[in-house]
Amino acid sequence: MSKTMAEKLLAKASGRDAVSVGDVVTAKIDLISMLDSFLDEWLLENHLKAWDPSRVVFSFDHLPPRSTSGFPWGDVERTREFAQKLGVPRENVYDLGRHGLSHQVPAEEGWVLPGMFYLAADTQGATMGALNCFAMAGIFSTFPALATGEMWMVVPEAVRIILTGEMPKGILGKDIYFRLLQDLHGRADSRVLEFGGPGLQSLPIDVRMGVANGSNHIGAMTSVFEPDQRLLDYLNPRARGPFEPVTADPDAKYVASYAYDLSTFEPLVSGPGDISKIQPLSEVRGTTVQAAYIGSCSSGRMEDLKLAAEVLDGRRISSDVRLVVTPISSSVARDAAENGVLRTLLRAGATVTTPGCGACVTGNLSPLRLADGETCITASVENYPGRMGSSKAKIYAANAAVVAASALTGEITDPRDYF
Amino acid sequence: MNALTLKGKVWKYGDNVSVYYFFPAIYEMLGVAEWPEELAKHFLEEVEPHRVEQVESGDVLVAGKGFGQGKHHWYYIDAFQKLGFAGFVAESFHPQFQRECIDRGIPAIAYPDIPSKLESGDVLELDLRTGKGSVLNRAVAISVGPTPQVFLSILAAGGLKPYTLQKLATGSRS
Repeated sequence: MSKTMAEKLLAKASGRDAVSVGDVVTAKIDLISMLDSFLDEWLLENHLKAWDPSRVVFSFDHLPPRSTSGFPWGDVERTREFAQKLGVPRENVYDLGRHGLSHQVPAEEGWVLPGMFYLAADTQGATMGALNCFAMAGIFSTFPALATGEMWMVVPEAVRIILTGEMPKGILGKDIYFRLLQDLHGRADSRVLEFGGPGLQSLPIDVRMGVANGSNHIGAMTSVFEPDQRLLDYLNPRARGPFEPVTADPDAKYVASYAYDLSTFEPLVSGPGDISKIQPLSEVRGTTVQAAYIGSCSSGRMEDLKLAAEVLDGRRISSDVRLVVTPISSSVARDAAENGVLRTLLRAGATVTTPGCGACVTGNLSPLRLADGETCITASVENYPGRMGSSKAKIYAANAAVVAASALTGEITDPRDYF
Repeated sequence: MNALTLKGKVWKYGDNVSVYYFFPAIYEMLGVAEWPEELAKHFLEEVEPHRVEQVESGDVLVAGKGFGQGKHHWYYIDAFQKLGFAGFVAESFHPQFQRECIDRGIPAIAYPDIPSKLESGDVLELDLRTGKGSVLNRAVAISVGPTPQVFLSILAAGGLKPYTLQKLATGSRS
């Protein structure tokens, strides 16, 4: 045997007993996650519909309605029409009121399950690897895959990440991903990161998704997390069908193995201008900021919002800072209203927007847009110049607690002083 | 010249080079990036702006490890093609960049041993079907393993869209 999780998942997807590194296979797709900003007339011009419309889910996250002028990528009305023409059932289209990130809604709604081959039309599709499936980002390649339900794959090598210990207070998935980016950049090309070890059980599913979300920036093909009781507890109330978790064989062959004690982790900051430029928070502490953002597929989950609310509870953000918070989905926004997190954020002076990508792409009606010369601290996914407005603005990326603490003081601040 | 052979002048780069090095990210947010002919005009704009004039049809971009970091939207790949680049050879690629290239019908092949044999300005000739080729200006022979058949099939068809239409038309869905 001696198979990695990636090999087992791709064997299952390609209908083979076993596959090995380097094999070229055709993977059958279990689910395609679409968003609202990537449409392609090619399918319609060739009279093609989705190969299995019941296996396609649209989540509205990037776009404003048609009435908003000047947005380069279209509008949600076009997406509704496109989904309908592909034959996708209306209940699979997570429109306003049910909307949110395409890397969140399919998990919340029980579409994505262990053992699956999952394809996403967005670059951050690996996020779903937290749920023990093979999660691919397809982008252009998603459109032909919509017609066939298949995807070519070269079975990748895998890197083992073994976690021990417990994550300290004030640390989130972003810090784990940033540390991996520091250590693995250039060593993970086209490989799969396979996470396991006794430390995994201390990580909430939200945090695991925050780690897997960084796979693309590390240079990996995707990430896969071992299944455990915490994952089963998340899935059991929502799963839309039976599923079979996958584990690696104890003697599976990895090209490299890294061990991390989670108790040694500290907040890290990326940027400005380059996500791979990582430094300890202490290196940039005190840098003045005018804008702060919590949201996108990299944060905006309940664990992010709760930790930010803990920092902000009973305090007011600086009058020199505008803090915008975008819950990752309608469901998270609703839960945050019910558990008091939204009240805390609003009382502190945050602006809370409709779920979606928000300020990360100055998208779906976000009011946060950076001006020339401004500096922003963000928990979102990208920080290259121009990403959130002016290309003459500086963008630092950090976890949601760092963003909240920085919004209080007007300068990059360690959140651990506020718990 | 077709998608299964490369013959052209080499532009050589190092490890982990991002698409943003060649095309500034701001053009994505301005909505310009989706027009590859417009995006192509901004090639190397922030680092060597005069070099945009020097790309010739058939040129090959050669790089070290992890080529193609950053966003992998197809318009960056289309912009390289509009400039004249016929393909990419690297020690390794960012997997999303490589998939987007192959599926757009543009070779992006990882050959760990080739980049160290090449310098900018060399003329590379390489047959992807056989893995045989040479550095023409220095008469250095190159021999590497053949490209995976699935890459060749998709490249020969002109990309994953025409390849898919062929498969659907012949009922050869595997």
